[in-house]
Amino acid sequence: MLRYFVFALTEAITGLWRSRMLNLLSIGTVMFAMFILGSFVFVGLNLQKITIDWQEQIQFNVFLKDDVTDYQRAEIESMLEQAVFVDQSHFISKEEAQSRFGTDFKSYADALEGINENPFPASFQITLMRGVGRDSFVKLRDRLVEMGGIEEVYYDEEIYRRLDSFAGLIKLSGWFFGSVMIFSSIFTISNVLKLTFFTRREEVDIMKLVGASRAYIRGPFIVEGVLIGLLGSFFAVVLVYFGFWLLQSYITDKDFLFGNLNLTFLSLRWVLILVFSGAISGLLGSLISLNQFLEEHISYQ
Amino acid sequence: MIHFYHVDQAYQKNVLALNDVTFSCAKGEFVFLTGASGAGKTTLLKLIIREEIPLRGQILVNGQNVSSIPVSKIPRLRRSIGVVFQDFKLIRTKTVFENVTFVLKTLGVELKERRKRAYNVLKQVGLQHKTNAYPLELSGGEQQRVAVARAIVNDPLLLLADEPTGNLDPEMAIEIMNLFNKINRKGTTVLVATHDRDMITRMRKRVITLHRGKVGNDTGSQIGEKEL
Repeated sequence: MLRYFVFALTEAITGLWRSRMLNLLSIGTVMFAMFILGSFVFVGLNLQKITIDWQEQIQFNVFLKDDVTDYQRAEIESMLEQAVFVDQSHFISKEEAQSRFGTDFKSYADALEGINENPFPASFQITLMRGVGRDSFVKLRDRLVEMGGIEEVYYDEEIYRRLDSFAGLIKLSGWFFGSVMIFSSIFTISNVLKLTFFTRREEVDIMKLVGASRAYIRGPFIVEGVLIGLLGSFFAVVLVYFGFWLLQSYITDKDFLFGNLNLTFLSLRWVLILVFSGAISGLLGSLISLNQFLEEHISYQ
Repeated sequence: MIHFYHVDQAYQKNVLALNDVTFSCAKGEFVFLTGASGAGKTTLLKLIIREEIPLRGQILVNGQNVSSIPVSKIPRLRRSIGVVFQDFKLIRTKTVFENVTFVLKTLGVELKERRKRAYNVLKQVGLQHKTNAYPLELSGGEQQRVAVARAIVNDPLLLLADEPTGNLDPEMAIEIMNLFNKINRKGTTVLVATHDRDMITRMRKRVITLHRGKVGNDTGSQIGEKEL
């Protein structure tokens, strides 16, 4: 088995080099397909990360009525403590709210002049667990609204909803375009291999005449397809990394758009998925060309 | 070693390329197959290596019925037969060494052993200094000798040659025939298709003459019947 693999690999490498211009076309197509897929995944994952980061920053506030009883407050507090997707909840009294306003919005201090009574309501400031979806928030809000002593449950739902659906859209587009590109690369690989085969038809005939078995004739073609897929997807990952590096050094350094945004590259799992997908599309491309077209010629019948 | 029983082969309806061909070659025999162009020499060789299937009749090669051999066993059959083709059939993109040792490589023979065997056979055909050359860098005669080297590198039981001296000058032709003779003396059965009458006369071996697809004349085996 190892002997056969070494044979197929060495023959495939020689074959790749011999028809390098044709094979570059296949490698380029796979690279393009995997780059598209990789880029969408990269953008989608980072956007998801941003959504989660922002979600932490967005304040989910439960404003209490001025006449809230201690019992009602304790009930709300206990409910928040028990809710599994609440990471932290912090009670802010009326006095604390007023002093915070004074510190955070000094320029608006005039706005409070002439008001004797403290206008700020007491509230609970809540931080949700990382990755908590919109559904959980809606459930929590509905339960809180039913409780007594609550004036308003405030949450910037629209921003969250938009970010969430945008990240989903990016990922979905990635899969869509990526799949289209993978199919086109399978198609290109199979056609390029057919073309390669035509240039080597005589060679295959001679191999048959001198007694090379079918597996030894097929093997190099299959390995060649897999190598094309592997090389294409490897270069695609390198290209995505280059894009990541560019974004990292230009956009984030210049405080562009996202300010202190910290991008992350594809995880090892995603890199492996991309490279593996490339290899599989190469394998499928070569099998399609062999089964559709070359089988008849390679067969000893 | 080779037995043909009433073999017919046709490429067109009602036109037989081989017509009721029956003959036997003993193990270790040296046989010339001759006849005019179109007599059926190449067809007969193609049937032996199962490049074609006969229309009728049976063909036994080394005890195997090649007309009904399973497809999976064809490569093994061909590896046991060395063939020198009329048009050499060398792979243009492979070097002399790679061409000669290709089958050995598919059999998993180590590089060191392949080098040794290639050197030995290339030395026999006088091309040991051309191992890294490509076929198109060689003359017709040299390409023919590479084809001979490839045919004998795996110590075949049977050596078939289709017009092996057609592209060679008389001196080289004699040298190639002497080489075949030497291989034959080691026990390999040799069947050479040629219309070179001078060569046939000089070699004084058994001659089977084909005439319009039929065995016209057979000078008879020079080896006893018991060895057939």
